[in-house]
Amino acid sequence: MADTADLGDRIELLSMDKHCDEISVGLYEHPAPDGVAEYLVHCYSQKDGVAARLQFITSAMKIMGDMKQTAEGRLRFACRNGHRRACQRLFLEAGKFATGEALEPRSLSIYDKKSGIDIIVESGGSGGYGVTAVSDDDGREKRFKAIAGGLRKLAEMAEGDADNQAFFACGQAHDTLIGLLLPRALNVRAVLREEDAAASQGVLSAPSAQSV
Amino acid sequence: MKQTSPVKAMTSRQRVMAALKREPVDRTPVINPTSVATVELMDMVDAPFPHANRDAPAMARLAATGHTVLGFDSVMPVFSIIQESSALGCKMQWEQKDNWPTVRMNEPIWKVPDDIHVPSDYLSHPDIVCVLDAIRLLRKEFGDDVAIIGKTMGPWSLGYHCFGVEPFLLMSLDNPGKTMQCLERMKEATIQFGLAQIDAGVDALTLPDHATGDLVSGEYYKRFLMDMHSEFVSDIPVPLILHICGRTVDRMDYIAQTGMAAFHFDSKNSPSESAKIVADRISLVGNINNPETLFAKNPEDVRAEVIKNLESGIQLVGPECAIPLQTRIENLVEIPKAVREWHSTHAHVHPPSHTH
Repeated sequence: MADTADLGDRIELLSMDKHCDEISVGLYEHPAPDGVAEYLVHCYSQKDGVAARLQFITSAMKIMGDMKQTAEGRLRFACRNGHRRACQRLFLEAGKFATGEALEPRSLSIYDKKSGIDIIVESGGSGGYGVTAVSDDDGREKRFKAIAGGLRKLAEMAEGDADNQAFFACGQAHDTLIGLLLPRALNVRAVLREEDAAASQGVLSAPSAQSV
Repeated sequence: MKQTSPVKAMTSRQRVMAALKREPVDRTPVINPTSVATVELMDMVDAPFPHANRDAPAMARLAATGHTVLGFDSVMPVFSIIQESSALGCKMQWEQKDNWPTVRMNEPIWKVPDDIHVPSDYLSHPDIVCVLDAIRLLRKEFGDDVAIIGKTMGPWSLGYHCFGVEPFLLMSLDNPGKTMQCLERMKEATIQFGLAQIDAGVDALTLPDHATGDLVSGEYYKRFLMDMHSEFVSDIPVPLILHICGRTVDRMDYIAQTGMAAFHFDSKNSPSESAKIVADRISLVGNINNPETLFAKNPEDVRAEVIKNLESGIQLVGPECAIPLQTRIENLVEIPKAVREWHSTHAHVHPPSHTH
């Protein structure tokens, strides 16, 4: 057998990268000797441009998710927590950027079309975040609760005392990660539908079960 | 379990062919009667779908990874179930790298038995020639070392593709005689493609005929297909591996009477229950679950299923059907790894089905 390097467990896959010759890019998880989960962006293709593409996705995960890169080229969170679900989402979002595109951490505020107000997410310390509005605006609690629920789903965060809160298990702040996830948290159902569609892609059905 | 004398080391090909005849083997072979292609293997050898379904060198390169990368005892170049239907004139949707090509069954090409026509140049169609050339390339590459398995679709599956699923099933209810006429005419495509693949160099053929457990009963299988499958055994002179998806224990007794070398069975059927029914009349192949275990679980879960099959005396281990294209390589390599390790602690001990 050849070419199956010990990369760790593949936990996410971009099956066709539209920004690089439709290569398939995997995110692999591997525990470091100190027990901290580390992640590697990998592709088996030897085509020109693949190395640069992997480097770009890795950089995007560093910038957009505040991950740190080890000397071996793997990524980890400074808090030493794996945050696997958040990392999977970060990887998928990083793959949506074209190589060379300008990258910068996203803001913790965003205009929410559904409620027609500007939403802001504030760090409350100890890894906790609260969803609220930029201006005083009563009667939006349900919407804040839904967005906080979206963040909890996307990053496997815990609930807080209030419905509009979400907490990272590590107890530390991850502002850049929250900034990345916030646009998706506004419509988390669409994200889940997208994930379901991706999971069923490439499954061969018997002719009797096909819809075409 | 029965103690037997050691079997001398075999090549992959010898191992597969012996197991298909239920003869002694040095260890249980791991085979892929259907596809083990994944998007990552496509990248590894630069043979992406749909190109790898239509270009012989790409098809051969991707098929070879089943042995060279995954460590299976066989290679299988006919990844899809549509090569024949394309050659018969069905409308195709070739899709993209991460999805399977399909036949547009809602645009059927035939309505009545008299419509059925296997073109005189059927075997010259590019989608047929591609498979035949890929088999020749694989034989050249692997010589006698690795088993090459081909595939020829059975007439029930062709009926779905060419008549549409619903019209074909309704015809089988309303007019069984007409349905038999259709099957008789379509079987010519099955036999011609099978014989051509033998000429090209295959050792065995998978014969998928989707009388699946969800839509077709065991009695239906007996009525429409059992005798025809026996005819295939006479007409196509290599070991045939019948593939039917779904829960099929209600027809395994009939399948075991056809003379097929093996039945490629789904994980909806327990290995021990299935082995009991076929009672050593044919070999069983499979039955590692695709959507849950190989696709979504971890190597240790794969290992547990492999061992369950080995302990039930299943003669050839492999995935239950064509694996999802996004399946992780580490789960696939675990199948042969688990088989080898199981045999290292079960030396010279074979289930009854390995001993004659």
